Amino acid sequence: MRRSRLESLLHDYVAGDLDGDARREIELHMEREPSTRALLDEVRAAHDALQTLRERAEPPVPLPHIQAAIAAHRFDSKPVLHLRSEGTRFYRRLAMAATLLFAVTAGLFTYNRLSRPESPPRPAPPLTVFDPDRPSAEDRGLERFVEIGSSRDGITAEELIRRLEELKKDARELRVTPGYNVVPIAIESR
Amino acid sequence: MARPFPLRLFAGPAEQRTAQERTEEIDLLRRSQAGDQDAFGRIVEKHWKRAFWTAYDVLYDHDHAQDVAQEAFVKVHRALQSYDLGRDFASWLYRIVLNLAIDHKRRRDRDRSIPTDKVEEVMDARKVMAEDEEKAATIERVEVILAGLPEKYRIPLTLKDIDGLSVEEVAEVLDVSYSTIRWRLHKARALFRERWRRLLQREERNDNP
Repeated sequence: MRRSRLESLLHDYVAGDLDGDARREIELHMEREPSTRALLDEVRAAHDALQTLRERAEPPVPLPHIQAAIAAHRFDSKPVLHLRSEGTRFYRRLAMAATLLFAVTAGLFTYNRLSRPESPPRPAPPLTVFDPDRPSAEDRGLERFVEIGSSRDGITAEELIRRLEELKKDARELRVTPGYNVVPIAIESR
Repeated sequence: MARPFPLRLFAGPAEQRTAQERTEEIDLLRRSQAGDQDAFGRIVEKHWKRAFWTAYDVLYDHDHAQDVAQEAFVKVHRALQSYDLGRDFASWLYRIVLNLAIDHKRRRDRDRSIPTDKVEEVMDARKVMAEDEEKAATIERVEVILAGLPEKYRIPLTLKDIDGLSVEEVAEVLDVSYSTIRWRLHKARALFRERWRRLLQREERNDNP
């Protein structure tokens, strides 16, 4: 039998972990090999030394402390959120802030829509017929001038804007030159 | 693989307790689950010593061992509702105490760049705990040797040879295989025996120069 195997079995023997047959076999082995007896004594001495730790003093039981800790824990553990991590808390706060921001924005938008006064009909801008015989210095650089009408002729602002939009489709550049009661429309052909 | 020398399968605390003790413990646990604080107090009193010394054998610090054992019982109380009464309570408690103690030790070792001299800590604790001077001296020497063993050998050794758990129970508590525990136990016992022998020889030489 290998020594390490024998040592292991002797420890089990001393600890009382071997059953009857195994114990008898170890005892027979020791009879055949008397040198094993010294090893057994050494194993037993070490085992007995370890056993002294079983006789360590009884430490005082801090029962009131334990009961206080249990009570404190019970009090603290009511809200489940206490158990959550810092990371979860951050995302929860972020979600709350986003919800609040959305609610405020939606409220302001609705308030503005409801409180906006009915817009009055826009008066026609003071447009008049452009006089191509007397173009301004700025207008002279343009290729041609187009007359789109005048409010004095009873043309509504909507009609003037519609005409202007028509001109935009054909013009490469469109410039409106303001003047006293006169807004000449100048376009440059494509 | 069959063992040439069959081991007695269960030498641990669960077997050592009588059926009556086991019934009483289940009754206390059931009452504790129902919120009976006195019943839980009796469980604490019954298991406190082992919980404390188990923590101490990892930490070698009286105050830290007390903190860990206390925390273990608070944890046990919190988990009582889901505790299966068919399980062995002592093994469950050991596992909780050991896990807490090992975590505590890791935190402490991280926080403390120079570990406290374990030998001195052991001796200080013994001064507080000892009841019999001669016995206290032997306990001191044993603990000094144990403190010098690697944790992976020391813990199975204390659980098996001091606390009286079976190899199967130690394997369950430490969550490692039976064969691993058998090997570590063998190694731990060999290391302890060798160091114990050398210590005794050294003391003999000092007594008879």
